[in-house]
Amino acid sequence: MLDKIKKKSNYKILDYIIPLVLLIILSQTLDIPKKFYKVISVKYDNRLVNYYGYCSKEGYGFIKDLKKKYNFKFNPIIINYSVYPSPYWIISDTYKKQNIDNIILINYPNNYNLAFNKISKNKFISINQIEHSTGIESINFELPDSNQKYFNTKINIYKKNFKENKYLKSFKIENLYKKKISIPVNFFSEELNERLNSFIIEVENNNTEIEKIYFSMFNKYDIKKMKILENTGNCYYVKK
Amino acid sequence: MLKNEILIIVLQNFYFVSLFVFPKIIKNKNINFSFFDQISINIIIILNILLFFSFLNISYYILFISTLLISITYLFLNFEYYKSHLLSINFIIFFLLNLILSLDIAYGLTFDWDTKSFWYQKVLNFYQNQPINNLSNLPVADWPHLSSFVWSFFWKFPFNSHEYLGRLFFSFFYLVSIFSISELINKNLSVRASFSIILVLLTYKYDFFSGEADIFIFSILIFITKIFYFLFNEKKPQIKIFFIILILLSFNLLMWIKLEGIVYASILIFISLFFKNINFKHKLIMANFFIIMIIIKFYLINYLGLNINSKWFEFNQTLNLDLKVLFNKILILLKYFLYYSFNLPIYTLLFISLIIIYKQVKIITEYEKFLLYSAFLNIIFLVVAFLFKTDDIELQIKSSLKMFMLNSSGVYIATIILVFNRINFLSKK
Repeated sequence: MLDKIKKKSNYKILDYIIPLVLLIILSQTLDIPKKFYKVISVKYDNRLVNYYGYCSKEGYGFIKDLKKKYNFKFNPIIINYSVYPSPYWIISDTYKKQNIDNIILINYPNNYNLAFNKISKNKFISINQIEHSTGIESINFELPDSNQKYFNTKINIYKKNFKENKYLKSFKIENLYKKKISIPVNFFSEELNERLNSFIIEVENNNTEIEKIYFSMFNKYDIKKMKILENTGNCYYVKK
Repeated sequence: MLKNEILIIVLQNFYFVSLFVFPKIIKNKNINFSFFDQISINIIIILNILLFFSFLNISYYILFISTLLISITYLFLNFEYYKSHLLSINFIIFFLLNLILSLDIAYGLTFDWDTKSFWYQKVLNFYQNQPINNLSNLPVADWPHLSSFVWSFFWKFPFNSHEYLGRLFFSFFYLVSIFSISELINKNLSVRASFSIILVLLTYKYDFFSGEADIFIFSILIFITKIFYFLFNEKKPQIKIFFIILILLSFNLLMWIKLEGIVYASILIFISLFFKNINFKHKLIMANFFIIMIIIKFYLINYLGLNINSKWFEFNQTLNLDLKVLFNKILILLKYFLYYSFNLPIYTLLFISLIIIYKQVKIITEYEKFLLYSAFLNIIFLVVAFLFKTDDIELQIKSSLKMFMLNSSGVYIATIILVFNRINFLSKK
């Protein structure tokens, strides 16, 4: 009789123990004790700032503080110079109209450059993304030491594509040979604003081993031409 | 002292229990629904009600109060029934699991790319009391709105606190569907509860709850496979009709959650046409009502100015069959499919289950055949959907294949469970 009761109670205890052990394993796998502590010890808004940055990453803290301070009656334009999803989720009010004169700029670059890495002797590929330019201000080369007097070359710019690269523009470069050359081109085009695809530069007629190429870009939102209302680090709230 | 946030999370889960557990909407003595089936059915019906109200520009406060009052009334009327179920090991484990996942979501907080860019703006639209036709002013107006509406509803009610409270419903529904399908295991409650936890261990990732609608599709597909199980094993036509209504209600939700929901529903209807377990009249009802639902959907989105953008279908690429490009795409797709199959353990388990079925099981039931055909057609759909997309499919695959594979895997869980039952059966012998 006792054995029977023992067996029964063992079975019942086991019935509870196995799922509970699995629950503990799951809690450990998901690191729940640490997360529990974080949720009770760090405020909701601070956790969001930790994830999305104050004036870095998506500029969550900066944008939220502006909303609190200015209590916008409109949706300002928000531009993030780093590649992130559309930032409007942070403060968008779906019933308000957008005001294109009020602009929030996040991760505003001091030098707005499209840089290239060398992939073969005469071929370069872009290594960053530019989304808010109006064109190329100048093309910059870094060259090795040499006795050459002149630097003559032609570069062809392509947008990288799955099937075949799309030709965009060519530039003929003629200049005195220097270690660093900057050629103003003032080429206005928005075709270089690209979030996904890279750009390719092919160099023609070139006897010189080019070390580095980068484009200085025109910034669509030049803060020098706007009224700065708020500024923290590289984040700005400006009015046109 | 616990901070408010934890208290709110617990209370939000109590609210889900009161809303989805207490009403006994379906009372039929001839059908032996389990407790979790009953909750799933309540969810399906209440979500259809929410869908209906999402088109009306009324205050949802009335809806919240009335559903809450109905739930509490049910609780008092059937107190003894609920007491026994709420204190069962299965439900206790379910509730604890819910709190664990809720905490994980409350800590995770982050949205994925598409949620930030598209889904969350739809959520804000409803949260900020804007009418449904205002969606036409937001990005991807043609993406279905139900998951966003549900998110905003449970964000606002009852506590109107943090956004993630709305997403806790997704984890609640996900767990209900897992506990419900685990009841297909021929073992006691404890084994079923343990199996449910293992399924959660295998399928749960915070990313799936970061605002995309795929986990919603996953949960509904699990529910549909369970109802098809009842449908295949039921003899009485009047009860079969009841199951068909439930399936149609679930299809209706699928259509309003994501566009591919229409395809999943079509696949299941198409396959069911080949099975004798469903008589001709019932097949006709199912197919016709499904077509009517599609017509209503397209009429409504047209009326609201939320027309489907043809750019998603990329007909030019679809009709442009370059064999070399196609072969290249197949290789890329295969590479990522295998990669994500190991990343999503349900796929690994599905492949193991298929091998076991092939090697060990001699007689396959009609329901098992139904599941196998569904799995097969789902995978075909997945391949076709990506193969005929834009030229640079690698980018698309990287951003969406995993979620695509996750949402359709809801159909495969029942297959895995039935194979698990077979292994038990074989070992007994």
